[in-house]
Amino acid sequence: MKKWLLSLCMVLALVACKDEKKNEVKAEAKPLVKIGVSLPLTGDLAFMGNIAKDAVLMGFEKWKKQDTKYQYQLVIEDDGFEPRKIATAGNKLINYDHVNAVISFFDQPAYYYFNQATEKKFIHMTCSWGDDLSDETYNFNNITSHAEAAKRLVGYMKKMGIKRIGYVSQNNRGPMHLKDNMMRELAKAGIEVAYEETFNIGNKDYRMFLASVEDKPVDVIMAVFLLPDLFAFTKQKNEMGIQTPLTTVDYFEDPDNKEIFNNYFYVVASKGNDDFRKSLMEKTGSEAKACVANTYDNLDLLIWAYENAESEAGKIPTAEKVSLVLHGVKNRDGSVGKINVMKDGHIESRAYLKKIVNGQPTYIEE
Amino acid sequence: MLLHLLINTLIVGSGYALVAMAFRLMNSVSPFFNMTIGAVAVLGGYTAYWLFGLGVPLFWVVVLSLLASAFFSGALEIGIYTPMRKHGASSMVLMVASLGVYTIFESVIHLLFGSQYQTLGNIGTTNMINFGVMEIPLVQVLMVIASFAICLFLNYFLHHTFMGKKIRAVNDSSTLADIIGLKNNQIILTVSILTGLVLGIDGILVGYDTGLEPTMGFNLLFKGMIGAIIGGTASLSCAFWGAMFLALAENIGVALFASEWRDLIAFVIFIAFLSLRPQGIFQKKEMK
Repeated sequence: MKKWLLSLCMVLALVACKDEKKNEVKAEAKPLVKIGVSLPLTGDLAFMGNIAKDAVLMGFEKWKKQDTKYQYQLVIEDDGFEPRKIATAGNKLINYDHVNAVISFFDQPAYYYFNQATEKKFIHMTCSWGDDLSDETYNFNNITSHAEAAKRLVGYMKKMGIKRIGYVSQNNRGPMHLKDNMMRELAKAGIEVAYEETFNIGNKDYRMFLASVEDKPVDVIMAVFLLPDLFAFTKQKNEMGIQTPLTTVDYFEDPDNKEIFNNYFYVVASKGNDDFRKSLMEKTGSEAKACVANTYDNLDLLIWAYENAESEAGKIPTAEKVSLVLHGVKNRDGSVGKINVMKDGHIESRAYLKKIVNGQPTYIEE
Repeated sequence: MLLHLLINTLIVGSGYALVAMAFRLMNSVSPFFNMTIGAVAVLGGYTAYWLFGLGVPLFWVVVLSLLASAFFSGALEIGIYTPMRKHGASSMVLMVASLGVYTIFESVIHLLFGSQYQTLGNIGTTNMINFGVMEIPLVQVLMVIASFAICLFLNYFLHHTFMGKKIRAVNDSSTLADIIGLKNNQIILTVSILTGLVLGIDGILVGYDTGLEPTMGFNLLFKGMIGAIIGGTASLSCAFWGAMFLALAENIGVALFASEWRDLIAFVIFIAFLSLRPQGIFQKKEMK
């Protein structure tokens, strides 16, 4: 028992020494801004989270080369996109590391940090489909809005002479919110929705549904499914001899094997401009996925805002001052194109139309 | 529409039936809710995916994947469940252990293959078979044939072979089987290997038909288990037809209401059977 106690005391002493040493360094340097980055580095979204991490590090390197007013430190934590891990990672970042701002990735963690940011008054920037993840002070959501995506896609449908569509979607928050926007735009454009159906996530059998709508011919089927389910839907549609093309948002780009979606058009949020994608590929060997460029821009915007916010001498700016600077962003160049911060904290960028040609995503000239 | 309903019931039901029969078979000698049944099927699919990646010919892919599933199933029995039974573990403890094994297995699959959806073969080029009234993908035809063939084979095996009789004896009363000198553990191991083969076939076919995900095991297990419970515990054929009944109910639900109702229908039927007719559709109430 005594040995255990002695060992524990030694470990605690070591931890204390380590913290003391850290503080000494801090005292000599410029004021420190700690930025927490919460990403899914394990679990279902790890394939995106790890690329987002690469992008964040790439952006951080760029800032490190500049002569900044403050010293910046990144604290990256794995939230696994899973409630328990999100809470653990968030607790560490906020209560142990005492970060000044947090960058998160996708809905689940974003909702956690949204509440924490409002309560503990720090800046939180995310890239998430949730439509209520930004506010006027502490929370910013950097994503192409569903309204913008719907406007672009329906505009293109009208231009293509599409008169009737079928609408199938998963019944989770993002797709449902997109559906509201799509229905509004479709009604405005006078495009008829011949049928609509929602499916649970994970459903792999669409044959019965497809058979039930075979007698309702449409020009295109809007299919808003995450990847495995979208594959199953497309495959079964083809197997049943239904030639109607599909359209969607983003999802056609996710798989390695995209041939099954050949000649289908769709709308995407920007995955980053050529320079960004090239740099990411050169430095990390990774191809940008959804929200990766937005997360890169979030870090860039955040550091830029800290550098430009007013502060007391020798101190870092308060979250409120940083927020003021962020709210002033209009037509700023970002990796996703021109960035505008709205009054409600939404960071808007434009949507693009693409088509899969020979298995490769290709921009459509508008 | 009716034709689609029947054919889709056959296809979906066949997938459920393979797991339902494996569940029923395993449960007959080792009566606990074995979560690793889903894992064994997933292993079959992923082994096939891995071997395809190495360029192994189809025949050997199938053979080696089935062997891998059978080996994994047998290894779980020898390495985990038999020692636990020796220490007097209850059904609940065995079930919790199987849940632990399933979780570890799923994590390993995540680590080895990533969380991304994977497909066996080229998903864009499906071989179709023309039946005049409609074309059906080859893999779905194979699934239907496999489920019927396995049902017939297992019924023959259980009723006309010495090992089958031993399995039925353990099913009737493991204590009595032990008293008359049957080696229960050996019989359970044989059933585990046999179950592994059936589940391996299911994993490969599902991998071809709808693709592979590390988390797919639970869904496979639950639908199969519901099919087995609906059918009743009288025989393997009951599990088979129970699975078909489940697929039919789901498809009628989709045709009449909406696709979102599919899982709800399955679980409502499950609860209804558990509370109103726990012996299943095809079994008469036991006389006391």
